[in-house]
Amino acid sequence: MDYQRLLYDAISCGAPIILCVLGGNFAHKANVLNIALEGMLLMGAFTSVLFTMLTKNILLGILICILINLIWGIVFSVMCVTKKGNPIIAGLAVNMLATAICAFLLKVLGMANLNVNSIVNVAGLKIQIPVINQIPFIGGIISGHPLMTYVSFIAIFVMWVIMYKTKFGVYVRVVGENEDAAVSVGINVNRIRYIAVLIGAVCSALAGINLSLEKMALFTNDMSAGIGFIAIAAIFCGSGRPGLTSIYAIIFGLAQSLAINLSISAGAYSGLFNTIPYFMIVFILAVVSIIKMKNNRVRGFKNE
Amino acid sequence: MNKVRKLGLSLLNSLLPVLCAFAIGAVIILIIGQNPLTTYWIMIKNTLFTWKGFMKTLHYASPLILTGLAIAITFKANIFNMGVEGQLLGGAFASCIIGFSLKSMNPTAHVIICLLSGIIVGMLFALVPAILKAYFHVNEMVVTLMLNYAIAKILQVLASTVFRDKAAGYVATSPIESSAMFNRIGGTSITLFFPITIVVFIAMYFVFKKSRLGYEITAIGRNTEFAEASGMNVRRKIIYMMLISGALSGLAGAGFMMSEKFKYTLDFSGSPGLGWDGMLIALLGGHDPIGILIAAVFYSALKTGSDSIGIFANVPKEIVAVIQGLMILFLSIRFIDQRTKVFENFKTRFISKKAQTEEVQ
Amino acid sequence: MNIIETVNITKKYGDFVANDAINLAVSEGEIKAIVGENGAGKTTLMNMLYGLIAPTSGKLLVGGKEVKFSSPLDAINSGLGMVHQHFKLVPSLTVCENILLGIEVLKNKTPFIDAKKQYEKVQAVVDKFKFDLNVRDRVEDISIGQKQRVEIMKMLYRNVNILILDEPTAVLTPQEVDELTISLKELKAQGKTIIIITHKLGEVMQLSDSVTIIKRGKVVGEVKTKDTNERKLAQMMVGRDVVLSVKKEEIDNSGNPVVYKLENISTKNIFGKEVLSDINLEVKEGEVLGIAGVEGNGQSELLKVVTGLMTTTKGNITLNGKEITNWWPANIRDAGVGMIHEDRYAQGLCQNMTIKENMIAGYHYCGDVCSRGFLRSQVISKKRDRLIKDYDIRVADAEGEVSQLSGGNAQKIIIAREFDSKPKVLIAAQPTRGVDVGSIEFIHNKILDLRKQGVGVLLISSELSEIMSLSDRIAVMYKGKIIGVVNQKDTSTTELGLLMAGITDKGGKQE
Repeated sequence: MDYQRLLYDAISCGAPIILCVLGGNFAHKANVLNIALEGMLLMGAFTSVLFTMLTKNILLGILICILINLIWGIVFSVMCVTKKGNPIIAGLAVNMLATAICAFLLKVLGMANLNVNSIVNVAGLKIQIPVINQIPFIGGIISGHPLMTYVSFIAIFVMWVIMYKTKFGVYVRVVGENEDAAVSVGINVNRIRYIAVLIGAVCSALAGINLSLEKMALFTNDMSAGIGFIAIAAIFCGSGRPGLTSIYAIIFGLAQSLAINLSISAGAYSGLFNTIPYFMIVFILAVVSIIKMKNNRVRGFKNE
Repeated sequence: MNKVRKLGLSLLNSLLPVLCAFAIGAVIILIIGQNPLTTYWIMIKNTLFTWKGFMKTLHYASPLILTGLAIAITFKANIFNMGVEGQLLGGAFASCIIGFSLKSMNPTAHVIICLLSGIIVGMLFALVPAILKAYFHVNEMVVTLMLNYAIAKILQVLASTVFRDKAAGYVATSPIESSAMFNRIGGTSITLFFPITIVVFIAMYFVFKKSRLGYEITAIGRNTEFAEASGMNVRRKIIYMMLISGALSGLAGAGFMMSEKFKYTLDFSGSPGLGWDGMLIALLGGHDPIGILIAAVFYSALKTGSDSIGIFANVPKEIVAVIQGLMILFLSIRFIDQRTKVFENFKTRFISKKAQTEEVQ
Repeated sequence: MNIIETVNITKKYGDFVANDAINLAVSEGEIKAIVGENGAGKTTLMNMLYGLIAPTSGKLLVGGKEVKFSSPLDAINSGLGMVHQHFKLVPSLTVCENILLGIEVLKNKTPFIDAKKQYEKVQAVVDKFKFDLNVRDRVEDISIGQKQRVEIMKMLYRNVNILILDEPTAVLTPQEVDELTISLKELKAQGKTIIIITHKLGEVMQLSDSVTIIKRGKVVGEVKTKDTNERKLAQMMVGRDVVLSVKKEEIDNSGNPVVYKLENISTKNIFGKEVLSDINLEVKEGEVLGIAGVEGNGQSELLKVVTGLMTTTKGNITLNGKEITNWWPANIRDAGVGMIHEDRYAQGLCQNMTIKENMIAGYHYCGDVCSRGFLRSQVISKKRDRLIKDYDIRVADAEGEVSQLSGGNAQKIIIAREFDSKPKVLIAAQPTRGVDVGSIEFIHNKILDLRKQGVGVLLISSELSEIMSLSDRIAVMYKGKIIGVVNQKDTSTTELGLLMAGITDKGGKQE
């Protein structure tokens, strides 16, 4: 197996997961379970390609894509923050709606998938980092990714700073840990939750852009393939901490990369390798939960 | 009086989301330049208002009733078994393999074996997340979602390799033997699967409404701590609930296989899939068996009707999935809760307005 | 001059009037006590003063000017601060961060927090008011008394001159109450106005300058503390002459056989910290064993262990000589242990289930209400009606949900359910928390009836008066250990208070 290729793909596959994870962390810390990440990611992937195709301008496509995802974020927040709806159901609704809308619009447009190869040059979007790309072996792994992949890794640090060093980060954690405390000193709890969800929406838009526009210049209907849910698993494993959750995201990215690279030479059974990431996530999630619950002597389950 | 009021409220809470979803759906249809009213009418005209169409609706409602119940039994206890889709596919696939590999069987025995294998596989697939949740507090939602993807992938590989029917021009297994098929009854679309579903439904009705387990499920859903302190052993109940849920899903899959599809194809469950439809149905029915029955028939009418709108109205049938998503979105909130006093509010507003106008005069 | 005045302030919830045209006047620099029974409407009134809820009608004047608060922030900006009974603190943040919550100090013109400057500023204020606090500690690591000081400091830092304290002594040891008294007097000396809400009349006499008594949402009396006494206050508060104690018959139960026994019970919490260490207790037939202690010293864990909600690391529990350690709740109940949990709306009842459904909880698998996995609706209805009658539970709609009931009546459902099963041992935790005086009397008498019938009772309570009036022997918990067991007849509140603070006469503070 080509290890350089494997690690390059791990970073490449990890990037959208990292972006989703970083965006989802704030909602997780603010005690809103944002499982709408999956749908927002798909929406991001779809709208970025669609509007790039319609406007023939990548930047405009990206901008409109982020705006549309913000609207989705607001829809989701209205449902579960303002109207106090069940976030799991609202989140799944957003996911199903995203899939349905993409399928519906593709039908209306009369296309099987969206292809913007003529506008976007995938190879041209890859950024070669000078000096680093000269390092043998490692250069080929770290260098040559599209912009959003780099953004995702830089975002780990940025999100850590926001979470632990700013007022907003403190408020997010306060809202999640003791809502009453936040209310009693006049923190607008709902506003904090809205912002937390919206950060998730923007991040998953970026992840979607990375997935469709940047890497393939193509949108197909099932391309999110559970990345949003994988991100939720990583958030659970890392308790919403930016650094730790990102590490899990990279591990899950590696699992996907393994699946891709193993299946190349596996023939008809290659599909079986595609299950590796899912089983691995279940396994890691189980191990993390078992470790967390190792000392638990209280019977029963928490009210959720 | 109180009961009537309660029933009225829950009816409103189910109807308003449906109306809102249809309203938004209508806007979308308008935007693509079609007439929403004609579209909706085409959708339900045949499926609800003709005998044959209605039988077809009932036929397609059978798996939906089962998946609706499968979702409801866990959702009601705040356990989110999102794996109904995967369990259904597993059940269907198992019954399919048994269905075509056992040759020249007695039809009754063959049908029973097929159904049982579907149920057992559904239960096995539900058991994994159940044990992880019950013993290690692993989030069942993420696990079931992940396993769904994994199961779908594995079945895809199996259907396109070892079990592939080389004669078919697309990825599909061999069709099941006729001894494992449910035959249509009296020239309608209905097969024996529908009465079986109704029997299971009645049994589940008693489980939900009259049994100790039903009582415990309600208690776990409303207040887990209370349930545990009242000696309900939530851990064990989670396993029971997931097993029942898995059995219902597996049965739905096996039944659908043996009454409609007869072979496993990649789009066996359709899009978004019978398991996901079950979620809408459970929510729409308010996790109540009777509600689920009505919702399943209603949604089945929409779904079977959607085939004709593609032909007669120039609206892609994917609009149904959009409306479905919207319904679930609106069902996530309570439009009216127990405490809102619709009539009282109306009265006070009306009276105070009247008083104001009188004052002005 | 009145610094706070309310004019006919009223709060209605539907048809229910929580506060009915209340006129309250607090003059500057005094300590005002507002007393009333549970459910009299004290908290509603305070929440209106603090902007947490909006009054239905009426006016609120602060410093002579009419104000309308839409959030607690408005109240704080007008100089009004509140210390809630349940602290509004964030455990994972430091004392300093908690105090500055909402008014963080930022590095100039950036969104980043200036941690160093924060510590300095808070330390200055802590020093000014002579509070004993380490501002760098995490709140999850400090004692309850200190947490309360953090809450007070939070308000003082915001320069409030009126401080409202809701049930400030509920969670403190008698000694900590004395410290609080000193702190409050110091604040008064520095010109702050203080309002305390309480139902403990002893502290009212000790602390306040004037008292306002509220009953059923109305002001029923306003007196200067020096012109009144506890008895008069109690009479006004309840509306009849009550002796706030129940009659306990003298029974000599010292020779009775032991029915319930805990040996070396230890357990650890999820972080691996030992929260119960070597608990040894014996309950005899016909005896009430009280467990006293400041909240958070292991009583909750002890309760969880004896009711089967938590497993042990070591030790045995025996009932009539039969080992029942780590059994599940259903089996423990089956063996003859009745349980009253500490939080009735968390473990005791399910608020949004019907009274009928709650009446059988925990006994729903028993022969008479359940056969072959199905519940017998008619039998249960009969049982419900009988218990409602026998235990004098006031329900508007017997078919309705528990959420419609008052605290006292909800608690009586638990009492009825558990007592009707004829237990051999009763575990009662906080059996009268948050219920009205009438129900307290009723519940106390029922517990004493059980004692007379020879049932062993393990009573866990943070109300010292409850422990004193019901128990035969009293065990005091401190930091997960039993620090001492005394006979009720031979002890005093002072001695118990010292034990609760971890001080034994064998010398020194236990660590």
